[in-house]
Amino acid sequence: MSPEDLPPPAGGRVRVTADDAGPAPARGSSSGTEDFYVDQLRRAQLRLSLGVACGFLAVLSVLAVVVATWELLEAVRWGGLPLSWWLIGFSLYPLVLGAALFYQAAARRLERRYRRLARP
Amino acid sequence: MNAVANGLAIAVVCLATVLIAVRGLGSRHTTEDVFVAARSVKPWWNASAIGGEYLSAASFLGVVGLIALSGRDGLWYPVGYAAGFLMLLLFVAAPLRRSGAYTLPDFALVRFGDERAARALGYAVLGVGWLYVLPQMHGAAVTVTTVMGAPAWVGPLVVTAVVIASVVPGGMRSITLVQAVQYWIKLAALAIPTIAVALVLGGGPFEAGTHAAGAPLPESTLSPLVTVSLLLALVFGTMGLPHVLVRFYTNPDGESARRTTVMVTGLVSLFYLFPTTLGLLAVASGQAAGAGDATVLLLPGSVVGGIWGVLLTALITGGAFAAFVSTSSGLCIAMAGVMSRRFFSGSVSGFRRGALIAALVPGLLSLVTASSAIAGVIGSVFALTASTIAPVLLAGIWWRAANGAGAVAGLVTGATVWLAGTAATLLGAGGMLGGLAAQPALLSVPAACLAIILVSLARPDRGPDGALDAVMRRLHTP
Repeated sequence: MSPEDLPPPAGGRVRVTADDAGPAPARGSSSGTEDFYVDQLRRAQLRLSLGVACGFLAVLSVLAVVVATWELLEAVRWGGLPLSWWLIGFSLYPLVLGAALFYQAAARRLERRYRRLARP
Repeated sequence: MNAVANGLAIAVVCLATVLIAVRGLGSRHTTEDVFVAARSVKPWWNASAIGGEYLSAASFLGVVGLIALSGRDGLWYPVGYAAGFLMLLLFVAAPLRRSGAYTLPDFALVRFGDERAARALGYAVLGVGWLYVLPQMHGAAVTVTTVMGAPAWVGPLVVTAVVIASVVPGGMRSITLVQAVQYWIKLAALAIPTIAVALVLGGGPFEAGTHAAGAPLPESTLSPLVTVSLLLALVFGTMGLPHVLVRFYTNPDGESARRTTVMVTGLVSLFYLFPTTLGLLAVASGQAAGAGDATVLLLPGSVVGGIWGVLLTALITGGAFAAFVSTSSGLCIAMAGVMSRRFFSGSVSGFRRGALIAALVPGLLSLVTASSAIAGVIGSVFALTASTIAPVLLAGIWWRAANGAGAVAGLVTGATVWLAGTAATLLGAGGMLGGLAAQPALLSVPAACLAIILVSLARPDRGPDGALDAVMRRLHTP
């Protein structure tokens, strides 16, 4: 098992490897451990982005199918225009903005965690 | 009277644009200034500038026109345009800024280290750019013939001249302020007439049953599948728009690039409330029916009337020109950056030569092509970027195994499928397949992604040892 496969050390502690653990990586600061954390950060960010995107696109697709197939949304009129028009026209912007704010906060949290772990 | 007021409005917007651009010149003309405004643009300014650049003829004229023309189908466009920035935020904004590249081809060099991929991405930027500027020119032509009775060529001529005068001397630094101001001009130029029209109509058209007595509502013709394909194009297309992406390089760092994107999402959403409302008012009141892209120019005059109607029309005319000029100059900057780095050795004078070519080509093209529904044409360009530039960016940023050969394959495949769909539509394909051919994103985006994946896996090329790790670290660490 290489040091990369181990969980990160607990707070305030430093991982010590034996003298015979082999030569240190030659690439200076871009050590295997840091690359491991970068990889974890990238994966976490991608999971977050995919989650938000899939959720939003799912809502969008469901709405597209619902307004096209559910007669009621067409029949109920408000101000002379079908309810479906109002739904598409105005209901999605708050959702877009909400998703954006949620993502911004979550992404920042992930980066703070990375900084804590990789650059103590 | 009307023609004079509208002509004055156009003149004021164009003169103000050139003046602000020249004032912003200052004394510094380094490469960093001209290409990316020395990477020192504050998020708030940058957000206004991106909003100013993004809200094009399609948003200003096209959305209202499409709602009036096709009702529910048209309402999806502004939603897709706004949601595009959410996707940009989720997948591209921060990593792209951290890449440190000046232009999209530079990004390909940083990430793939592959000259062919950079060249292919450069051609994609030029193709998308010119296809996107063309409808702006057509919008200008429609506007001058509608509100001034002038010959159609006057519009493209004015837009081309203003773009050249404001972009060529100062590049990105001088244009940032112009774009930021133009967002607020456009917002005011649509918000005030919308509110005025709503007040004059006084809820009349929105009273239940009013419309039932009048003309029938415009019919929706898109099947749900085609609607989803359209939304896919709009949502992922924004991510690949060169003039929007080039603005992200002007942020100081990744975190501010993200903050900028959230602000743009808010600004753009706020803007779209007004064309949507105006479109609904146009349908509900039955006024300015059948005017297509000119609906937004005619509605306030026909509803409000008198001197106020004249002033409101002049205001909208000015705003429309702000839209044509700002989008065209943004694209011009993106294309000039690419051309200068690819063909003119990346110098400042090369940037200027590139800007000149970038502005003149669509100006000339617009004289020999005909205008059709602007938002529809722009929707088609979104489908093109969604199936070429966007998948390459996504793969490059998030997938370690993606490489230059895969990127080239993705660009070629996406463009080919898009081209086949567009050709089939022009030849008059009908039915379910015809609908998808007109909105090909549902086919072309997966095809491009598949090509990137298969070719990247078939021809693995990790580059020199450790280089990939270094790039990934740069893209993804705060």
